[in-house]
Amino acid sequence: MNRNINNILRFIGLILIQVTILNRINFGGFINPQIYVLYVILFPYYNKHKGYFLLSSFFLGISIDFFMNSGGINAFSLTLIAFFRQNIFNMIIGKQDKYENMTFHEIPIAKAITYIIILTFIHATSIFWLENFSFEQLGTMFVRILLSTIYSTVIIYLSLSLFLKKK
Amino acid sequence: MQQLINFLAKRKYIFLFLLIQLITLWLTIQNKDYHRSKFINSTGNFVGGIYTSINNFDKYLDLYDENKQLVEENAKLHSMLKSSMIEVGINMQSYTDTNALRIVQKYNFTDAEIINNSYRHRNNHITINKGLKNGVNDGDGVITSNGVIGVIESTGENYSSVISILNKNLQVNAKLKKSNYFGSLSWPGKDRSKFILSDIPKEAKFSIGDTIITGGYSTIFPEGINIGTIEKFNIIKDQNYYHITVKPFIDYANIKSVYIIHNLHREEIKETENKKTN
Repeated sequence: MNRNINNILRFIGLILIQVTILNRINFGGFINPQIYVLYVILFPYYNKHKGYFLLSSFFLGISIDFFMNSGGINAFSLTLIAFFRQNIFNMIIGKQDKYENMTFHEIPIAKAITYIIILTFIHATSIFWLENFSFEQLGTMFVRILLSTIYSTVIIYLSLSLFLKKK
Repeated sequence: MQQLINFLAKRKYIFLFLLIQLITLWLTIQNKDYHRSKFINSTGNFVGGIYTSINNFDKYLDLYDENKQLVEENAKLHSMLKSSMIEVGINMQSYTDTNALRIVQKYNFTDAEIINNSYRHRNNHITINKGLKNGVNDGDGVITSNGVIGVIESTGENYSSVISILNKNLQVNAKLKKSNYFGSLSWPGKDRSKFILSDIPKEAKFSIGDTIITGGYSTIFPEGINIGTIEKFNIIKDQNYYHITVKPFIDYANIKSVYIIHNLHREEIKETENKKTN
């Protein structure tokens, strides 16, 4: 129950932080970090609640889209990484029986960062592809994807290590 | 039958996933066409309200620049007043005589404030704090005193969203200030201080630093709004047109107050044009 409330608070909090602060930060002209990917990373359940997971990720993405006038770009990308989260997790960190009992402090830093980088990279690639929707300016797009991945990873890792309780 | 149900039940999350992806993809494609981007936008009262309250915070930080701009604009308007002009030879009386000259209003101006501005994406949108209640209509132009901002794409009760000129889907009719050659201005992405003016025939004569203004051939913007200056140009091979890089007068990251222009004659012009084609 407690975890449910946490999850809902995180849902609302991440939207607000994203649209009120991070979307207005202007690193190097055109990058903004996407902290709301943290929702997918921290979503506490998996196997039993996959439907809930996919739908809530969709709703988080579409809320961001409402603020950014971006159609369904963020919703598409967030649902995409939500769907493949477990596969990526198994691949990088190894099979865990219960994602929910795990905290990020138990994972070696290198593995945790790789995991975050892969998720943010897929997410950013999806976002910039959908936004561009063509093969023009592949170079610029690739730079944007890389920078966006780096900024998002840094900000997500920082907030994980600052705000997660140590057990 | 049982097998089919089992099959579907086993893969229900894959189907849910694919369904979500299809919906969001459809929303994204809808959004590419600015006449149809009605579904997901920031003109709702909730989203607009949040943007307004953020905006109230950083309004104070910009007061200095804002004042400077207003003073400059005032000075420009003062210089256009009748009291700043002198009569040369001609009897002004005949011009102010209502029978000799009838002035009909063609454009209405409404002031608005930008409450959310994006400029980092390939396709940017802006939210402003005026909507249907203030007489804003889809397709109205949005400008500042020194540049073109965009076109209203959808209107809510109190807020409107604007398709920014920093967007693949918007092109503006523009011309050289010194001659009447016109072309279309678009944004190639990447750098918000570089626009491309295309379709200017190679007969046109101009030099670097010349001013580009809006042309009169659009029903959205009046003629003569400043856009920017020519930074460099070249002729495309095998074509008879120039490819001109234009540097805008304003920084699109730093705009606050805008004017919405409503062309009172637009419906009439459209009607006439439709009659012609029918």
